[in-house]
Amino acid sequence: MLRPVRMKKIQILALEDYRYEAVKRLQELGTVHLTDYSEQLSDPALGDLLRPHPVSATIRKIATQNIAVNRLLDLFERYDPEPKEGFIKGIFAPSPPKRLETREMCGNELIETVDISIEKIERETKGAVEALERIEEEIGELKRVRGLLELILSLEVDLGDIGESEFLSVLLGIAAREEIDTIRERLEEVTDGNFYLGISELPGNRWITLVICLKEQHSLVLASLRRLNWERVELEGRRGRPRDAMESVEKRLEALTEEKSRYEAVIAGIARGWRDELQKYREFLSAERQREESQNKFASMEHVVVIAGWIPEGSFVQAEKDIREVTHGACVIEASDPEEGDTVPVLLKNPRFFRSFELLTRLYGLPAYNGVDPTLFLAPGFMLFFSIMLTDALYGVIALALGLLLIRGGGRYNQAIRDGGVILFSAGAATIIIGALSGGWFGGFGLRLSVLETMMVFDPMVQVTAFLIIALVIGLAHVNIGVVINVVDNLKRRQLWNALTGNLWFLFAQPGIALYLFGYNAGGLAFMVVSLALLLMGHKAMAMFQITGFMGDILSYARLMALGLCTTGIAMTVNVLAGMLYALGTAGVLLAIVVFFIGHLFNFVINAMGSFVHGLRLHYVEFFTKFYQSGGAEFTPLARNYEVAKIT
Amino acid sequence: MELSMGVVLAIIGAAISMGVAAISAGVGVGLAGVAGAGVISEDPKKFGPVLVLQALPQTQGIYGFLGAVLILIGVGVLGGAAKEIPLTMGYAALGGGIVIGLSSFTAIAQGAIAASGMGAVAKRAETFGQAVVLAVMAETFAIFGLLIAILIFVGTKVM
Repeated sequence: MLRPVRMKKIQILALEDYRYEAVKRLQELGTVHLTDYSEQLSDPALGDLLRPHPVSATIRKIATQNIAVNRLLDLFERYDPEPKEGFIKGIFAPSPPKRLETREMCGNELIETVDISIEKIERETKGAVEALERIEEEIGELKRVRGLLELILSLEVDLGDIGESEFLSVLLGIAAREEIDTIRERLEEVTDGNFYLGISELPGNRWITLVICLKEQHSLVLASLRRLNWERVELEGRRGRPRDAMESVEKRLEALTEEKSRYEAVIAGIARGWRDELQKYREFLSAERQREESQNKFASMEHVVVIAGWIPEGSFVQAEKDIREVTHGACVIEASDPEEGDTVPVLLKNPRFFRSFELLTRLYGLPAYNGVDPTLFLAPGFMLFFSIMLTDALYGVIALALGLLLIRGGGRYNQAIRDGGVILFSAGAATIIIGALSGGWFGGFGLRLSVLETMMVFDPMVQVTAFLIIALVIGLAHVNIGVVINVVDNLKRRQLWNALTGNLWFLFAQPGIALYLFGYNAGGLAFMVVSLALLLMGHKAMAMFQITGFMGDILSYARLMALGLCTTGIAMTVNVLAGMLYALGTAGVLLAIVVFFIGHLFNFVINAMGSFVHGLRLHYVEFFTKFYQSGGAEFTPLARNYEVAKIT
Repeated sequence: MELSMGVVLAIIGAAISMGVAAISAGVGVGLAGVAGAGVISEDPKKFGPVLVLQALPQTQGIYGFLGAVLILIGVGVLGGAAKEIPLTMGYAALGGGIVIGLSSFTAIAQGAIAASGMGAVAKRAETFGQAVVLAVMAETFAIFGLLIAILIFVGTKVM
């Protein structure tokens, strides 16, 4: 709760014969984070006793099958795409994800079944896939020809005449009007006058040119033409006028398109029949692959496999029982405590409501294993800061409603959306309370209802200085909590020196100043001396910066008041604008309503974002820096990850 | 309401405090935002850290706002106690506004740091916390500026 989950080092020695079953059971439990034993193998004390575990025999086969299955599923997706939901619908009202009830498959049974299935599907789709490739190629070529034909449609030339004949070479090309004269000149040069140039206008300042020259001069002419922005139109093997050729091209395209859709239907049919099976196989293969790849982390002796990892303290008993069962007792299982210098993986565990706020802790970075898990403090702190900065009860209602929609919508199937929804919901709820107390109901709009006015205890626009002082006092309290956490944490870890010389001086300085202000000079002085001593001991030359640092930290909380004031101020402005429009008569009333709602919506969005970000920022910069140690490694247990398959 | 010269000078101070701070904060947030757009174009999942880093240079804008509000309350333009504001007090308030406005230039540097921080987070997500601390270092002097302004206001009885 206040610390990451306590872990134990687990070591399992089992008969190699039961390795597969043992790994499978560990995967089902999903509580063990495997460590790579090969790192420890270089320890000279072990000598020749342990060797790295041999690589799995089936891993390559599984990888190949995985690729084949993915390829087939891509093929299915291409010709029979699964319907996808829109983004908005996906967040607020998603349909339940696809689940297929099935028996689990693993090991040789899985590999053989997948082999047979892949072979069957490939056989059934082979004809259609090849035909489609052929058709696509032909369609591509026909489209190219059609594009060219469109350009020269008006030409009354027999396409069969274009190309090389016994003595002549006929070239068809396109050029811009400005180039024509240059072309004529160049041709004159190159062919000594033995050429013919026919031109015909096309739409868009492009001219079609027919160039006839002697066959021997074909390449020369072609080379010179190419240098003159002349675009050749190549239509080998076509006959008749472009108009007629176009007709036959269109007819052929139609026929091909029809043939194409027939083959596509064939594949779609196969897809519908096999897709579910393949999706299941994909997940089973993935789990099998995980099992096989984990062997790279094991060590082995003659007939024994050695598995090492981390396991949460509370899960050890169950794991031991299961492994013992699965290996028929032929195993030795030990648990030991983490040692100095071990990189222990970090798993956060918080009560249900607070679990959603782990999202915000994670955003900053996982705490170190021996550090503090600040989520329990983050949640109420964030709710408080957000509500003070948003300061409007009806905006709080909007946030609460949005949060609820998220929880009931995408949050049913997606943990991240659910977390976001919970955070928004609770921040909104807090805002309703603070808003009610400060008389913010869309600015002053709601205060017409006298019951709401009686709830108002504090007017932020009038009692501005008081608001500022409240913000700074909250800041002082927050920073103090951070310092206390740091001191307690250090004491718990028996690091007395750190506890004394860290930020403890600050806790002494405050009563010192307070006593002094109230006239108890002697008492005040005593505290101040202790405080100064601790400060100098811990920070020496940096002492001055510590003092200014803390002053800056507390001043930073003034933003609570500033942002709260902003929200109220803009809300008031929106109301004034709407009021002015309202007074203009019937058309004005309509406009006033529009301005009112859009204005408040805009204000809500801008200030909700600001409150969210600055609420977080205050925690990250002013609070966490007092005690937080980041750099934790994520706890990633060996576990199955079935999204589609549902084991019965 | 009869505006004495002192009050007018104080208002100018408030204007400078907020106005200059707005420019600096805007530039800072803009610099960071430009980098942020680049980061999320490669990896939209990093929007969270990017948003937080972009918000950091806003601090100086908030201090400018704070300073302006304190001045306006102090001289009676915005609620607060009505009192006689001599010309000299007006100049003092102006001075306070100027110090906040000028010290807000640190936001521009902070924006540049935040922008680079986003680059660090794009490469290695675990450096987020450190990137935040780096950016926040630039705020120190803006805080000093705010502190001096508050001391001025308190000392000359504006506040």
